[in-house]
Amino acid sequence: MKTASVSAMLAASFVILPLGWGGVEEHAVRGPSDIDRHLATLLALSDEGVASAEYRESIGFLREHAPAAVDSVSGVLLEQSGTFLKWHLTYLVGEFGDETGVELLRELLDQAIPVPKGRPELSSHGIDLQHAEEVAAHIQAVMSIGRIASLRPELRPDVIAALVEIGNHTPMVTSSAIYELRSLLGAEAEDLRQLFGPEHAQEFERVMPPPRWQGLLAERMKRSAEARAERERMGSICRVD
Amino acid sequence: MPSRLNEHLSVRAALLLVAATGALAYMFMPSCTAFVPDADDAICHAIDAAGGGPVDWPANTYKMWAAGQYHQCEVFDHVSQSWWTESEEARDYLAGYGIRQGHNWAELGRDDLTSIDEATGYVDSPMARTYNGYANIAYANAEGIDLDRGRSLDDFEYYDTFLKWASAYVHQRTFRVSGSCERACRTVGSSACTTARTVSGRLRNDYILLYHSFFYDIDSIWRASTVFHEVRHAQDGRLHTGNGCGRRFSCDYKWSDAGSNTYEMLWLAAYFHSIEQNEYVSDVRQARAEAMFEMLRLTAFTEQVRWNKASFASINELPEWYLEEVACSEGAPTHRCLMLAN
Repeated sequence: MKTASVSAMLAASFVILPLGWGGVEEHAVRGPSDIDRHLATLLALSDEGVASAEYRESIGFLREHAPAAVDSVSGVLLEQSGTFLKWHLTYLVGEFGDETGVELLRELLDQAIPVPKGRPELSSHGIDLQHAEEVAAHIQAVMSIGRIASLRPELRPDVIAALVEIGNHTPMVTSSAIYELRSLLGAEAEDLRQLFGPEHAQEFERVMPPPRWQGLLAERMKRSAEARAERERMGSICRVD
Repeated sequence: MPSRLNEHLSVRAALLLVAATGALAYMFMPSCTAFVPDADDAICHAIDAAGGGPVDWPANTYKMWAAGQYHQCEVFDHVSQSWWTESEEARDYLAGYGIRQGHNWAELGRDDLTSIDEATGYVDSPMARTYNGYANIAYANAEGIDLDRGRSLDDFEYYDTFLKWASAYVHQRTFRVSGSCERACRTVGSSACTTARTVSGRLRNDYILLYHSFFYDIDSIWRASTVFHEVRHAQDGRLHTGNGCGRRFSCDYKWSDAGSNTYEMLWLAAYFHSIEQNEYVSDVRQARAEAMFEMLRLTAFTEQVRWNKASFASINELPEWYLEEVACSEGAPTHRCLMLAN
């Protein structure tokens, strides 16, 4: 039964991609464009990521053609509400996007989140899937904006300014925006404290275990670093390219 | 007096009549799956059509996914990322989380575990989707299925990362995991659905029941965190205590109650902070876990959680600190809450 190949998977993607994407119906007639083809590859192989040669090729192509790729996914990001596909594409925009990607993600953040339907229940795990996915897409948008800055250093100043603005104007994602700023700037993020209200001071604090745990923490960190180095050493010996 | 007796009788008769009518209407009410389009109940049709033989698992899920409808989570269910399909030992280990004792799995794909949708390469049966959820729990730690899950949960010398402890916790605190074809949604076509339900019990009589939405509406990372959530309900007996949280369903009052939402977030935090990388801990899965962690932090508690993503940076190095329950200064002397309290 296990006869499926990546190419079959991608062939299926080409056929069905136009079904859900606004503005690409014409491709159903003349075949998928290169942008659509590479987007389909990313969607299908994002779990393998850069370990896959096809993924690497596609991500390279889409980074080179970022404005067109961003335009291709804008329909889903701005018109769909609360789907896994929307979250997934929001993640991918972080991988290939440029300044147009940042703009699109900011537009996504301006979208309203639907009110969840539901009622409290004690024993069953219910959830409004659409609401949860939409919240996840908004959070991912902030994560992806941060990712664009880490992949395109020339955009860092603009992205940092954008994250400060987002953090101040969109309360739901303030914590995520500060987390991205801390990841991008390291210790320098301290300088941004005054740009956020005192109610967000805690977002800049480092949570440290009490002293009685710190010796053990240091020992474990040392042990895991050694184990990681050993794994990498063995991996480099065994790797077959 | 007789007239009062007659009045009582007629009220009782009226109540009985209403109850009987209700029961009759309920009996003939079509199930949720009868209303929704084929994709939503395709799984049940496929089982029926098989007549006890191999099930032809629906192939239209990928199409639905691209169309932006539910059944969209195959990206983490590709057969190439499902190690357990190649190993009887791995399947045995995953079944050991409580699935082996569960009910209905024969109908939900026990014999078709390694069948895939040939067009897309994704595992399709509910049981296979369940295995992929559990595989995230099993393989997220470096030991994988070589981890000895039977050691005491206090043995942090052995469980020296949260992800190792998590695998043992799920194994030791679950007795039975059953599957159901039921699409337990609020109304027909509603996106407000029950993904799982747990009956708690301390005498190995607890069980977790997984619904249609668990298999087909949520991705395998969300499935894994849902399992972790449910296990906290199971033998630990922690029920939801809150109301009025952002998502309205399944609310806990506050983080330090150490309930199911707290535990679900702990697993997600450990997962996205993990430095281990393999087929079950990829960049995209870690991003998914990070987004789901924040979604829960924002929406699953009545009282705002003051911890953030960065607060959990050491969770895999020092799991015992994150899990330590101590007497809470804010509560009664007997009340205990998480060391990382608020």
